[in-house]
Amino acid sequence: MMPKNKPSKIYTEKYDLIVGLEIHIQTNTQSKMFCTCPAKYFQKEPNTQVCPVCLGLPDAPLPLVNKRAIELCILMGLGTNCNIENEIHFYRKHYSYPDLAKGYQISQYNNPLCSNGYVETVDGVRIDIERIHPEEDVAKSTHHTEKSSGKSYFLIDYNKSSVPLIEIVTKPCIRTPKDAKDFATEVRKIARYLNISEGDMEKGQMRCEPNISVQEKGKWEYKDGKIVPKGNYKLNPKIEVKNIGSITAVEKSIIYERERLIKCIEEGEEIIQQTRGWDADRNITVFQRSKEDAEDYNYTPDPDIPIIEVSSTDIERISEELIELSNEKIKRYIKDWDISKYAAEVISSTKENAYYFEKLQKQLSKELSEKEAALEASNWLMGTIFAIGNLNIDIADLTLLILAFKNGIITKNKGEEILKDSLENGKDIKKELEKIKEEKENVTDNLVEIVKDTIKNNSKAVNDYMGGKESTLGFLVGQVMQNTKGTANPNDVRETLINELKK
Amino acid sequence: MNKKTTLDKLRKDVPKKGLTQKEVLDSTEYTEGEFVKIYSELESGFEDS
Repeated sequence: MMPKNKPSKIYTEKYDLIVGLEIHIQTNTQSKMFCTCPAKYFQKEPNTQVCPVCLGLPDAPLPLVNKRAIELCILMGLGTNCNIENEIHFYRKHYSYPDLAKGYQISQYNNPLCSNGYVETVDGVRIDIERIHPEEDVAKSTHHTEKSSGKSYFLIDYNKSSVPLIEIVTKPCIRTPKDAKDFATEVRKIARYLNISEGDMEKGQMRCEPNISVQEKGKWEYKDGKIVPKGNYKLNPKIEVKNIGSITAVEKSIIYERERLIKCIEEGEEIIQQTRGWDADRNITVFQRSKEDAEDYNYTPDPDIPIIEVSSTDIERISEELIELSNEKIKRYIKDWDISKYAAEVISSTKENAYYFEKLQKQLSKELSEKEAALEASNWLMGTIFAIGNLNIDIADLTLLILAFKNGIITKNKGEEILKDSLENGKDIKKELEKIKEEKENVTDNLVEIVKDTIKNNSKAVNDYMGGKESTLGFLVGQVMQNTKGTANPNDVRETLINELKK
Repeated sequence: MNKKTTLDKLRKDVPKKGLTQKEVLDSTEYTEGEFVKIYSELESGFEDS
């Protein structure tokens, strides 16, 4: 069954979609969460970024908490409007799997470091965050079957074991697949803006796991951050989806599960709480296992890690790293500069784009009004610079180019040509513009002569025009423009042509 | 219960080299190529962080 963007009719009439999202983000730290092994494991030789602590060896030294990983978790909490706890308690989350060296994962249980926050999506939908806490990643494992014996086995690379993670859990307040996608996009933007993580899902730096259920309309309510049944209604179990490799797949997997669950209910099939995996090739989810509840993990306080006190001074110091985030920028661009919502969203989608835009706007506003400068900067970024895909163009050069366009010295096409020439062949934009200006002055001085020559060399077109075929004038303007290598002002050319043709 | 510490006293984020790949592979019973090999049934086929 392929995911459909449009909800089925029965869905809209009878059921509500309820989604909570769990997101794991690897932090931008140099070392691991509880040991000094390097945390950058991408494309490293397997099992080369490890020590007895992250291997869970019996004689390993005690775990030592990475200060920066905790600071980044607090920064994520501050960036998402959370309350920050003044103590951090680490717990051992027990389960047995080959990717977990110690037999437990060090995580948090109750009293997470950050709680009760929220994020607003680009559409202004508020998504409530239940908790954000630090924990450690597990090893990378691949499953195989031995040909000779038929035995099942795993090959393990422990480089990823104990890389710092931030876990973000929303309340079950998401009501559409798009809102889930928008929330994940927003979280990634916050992580990138604040240098918490690159958030590259293909590299596993960010993982999204939606918890999905469908409930009959009017038979449940959202109360104190929880879904509770009304009367005798029995809530349908939720499904957790893993193995999602892109933000688009977050939306697709929810759409698929929504339709699958409704079909199950309508056909009288019992739904069991379970974990399913997203199969991106087939655009479906597949059963993986019945889902454990928290009590199955036997959480116990980790006796090897002291309770960490977080003071208000710590929080104040960390909050100095907060900067204006994408959503705030969008609002400001629209309110102060009348930029379209679409342009504001695209420009602020990355910190690099937004900073480039703001610098260009500031530079242009020395010659133009604030709004005009923002509009020109936005038009050039959206229409030309993002298409070229290069933000290495010097702001001062680009400003000169845009002002030359505004002053009628060059056309937009000519401007783009100069930009590309500068990037591909290293041509100096300033010198190119000076050359064009000079040529233009020469052309202006000699325009009458050039027009006269053009009239002389295009007698048929001239006769057609004189015979009443006015559209021929466009052809003649084009001929003059060609003769001036595009440097003449088309309006001046037109006017001069008309004058000369009258003679 | 655990004793307390402060955020400021935690370990600084400075990486150090740990074990070599050979040391890791020598410390385990089964290996295959550069990987540690563990015989186990597939329960879910995914990481559970």
